[in-house]
Amino acid sequence: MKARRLDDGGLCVLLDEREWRIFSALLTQYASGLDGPSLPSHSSKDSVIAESNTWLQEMQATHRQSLVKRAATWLEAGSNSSPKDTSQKMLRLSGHDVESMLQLFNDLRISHWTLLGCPNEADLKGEKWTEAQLPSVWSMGLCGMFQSVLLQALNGSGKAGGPSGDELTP
Amino acid sequence: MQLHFLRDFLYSSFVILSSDPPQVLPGPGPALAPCISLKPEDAYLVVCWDDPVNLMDYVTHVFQKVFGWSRERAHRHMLEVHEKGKSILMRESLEKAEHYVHQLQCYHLQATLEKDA
Repeated sequence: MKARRLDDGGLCVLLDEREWRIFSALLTQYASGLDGPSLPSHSSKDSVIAESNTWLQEMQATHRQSLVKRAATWLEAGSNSSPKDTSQKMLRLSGHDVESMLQLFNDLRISHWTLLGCPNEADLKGEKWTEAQLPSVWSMGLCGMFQSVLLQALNGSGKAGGPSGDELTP
Repeated sequence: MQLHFLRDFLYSSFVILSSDPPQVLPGPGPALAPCISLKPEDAYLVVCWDDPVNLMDYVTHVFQKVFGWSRERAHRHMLEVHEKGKSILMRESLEKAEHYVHQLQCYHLQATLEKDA
């Protein structure tokens, strides 16, 4: 996966056939209803804050629906956008699209992390996972990798790669 | 999707990463004081809490995007979250603080609204 910064603040993303299969599988997974991670509850005795928290939770549900719609749009756009004579797929993302994609991959990453029982960093690196859990472990890694490529392109480093364990907050 | 296909892809990605040079983090910056003056009864704090899953570069990016901060300032706050468990990002009126918390939650950071005591 290669990403290049555009003059308008967006990104041009190029994926080879294998990357596109993974990318579309992750987006399909998100769009088809893997439960979104729930935010930790922060109960408050302050009625103003309690009311605000309720509103914020409703807004999050709405926001997730908008990300699902965007995922469907990217899948369609990517499917129809092979550069000439290649099996690659190209996505031209606006700055807003890039932020939404970062949010989507992070959502998906946290959903899989939640499915795994919210392990800490050391546990994630271990090899104690069952065969049934491995897809979530790999999905977490893949989402993190896509996030890192986008972030590196935004920051102008232009390098492709994935996150290491050292980059996880403890 | 074949699991071995996913596994091979993931492992090859980590191999690419392992050749990256280690990142050098800047030293402690100036005090991270909230910047807006408000009456205590009108002021709310936007607090971001540590979590074990969000990537450090991602958190820095989110702070830059949501608050329009420089990378250095965003990085200092990210480190404060990382090392101290939380960081007070803003001291604002209720409406503005709510807006910021919503923006941070869209990126799935653990952000909360607190009354300034």
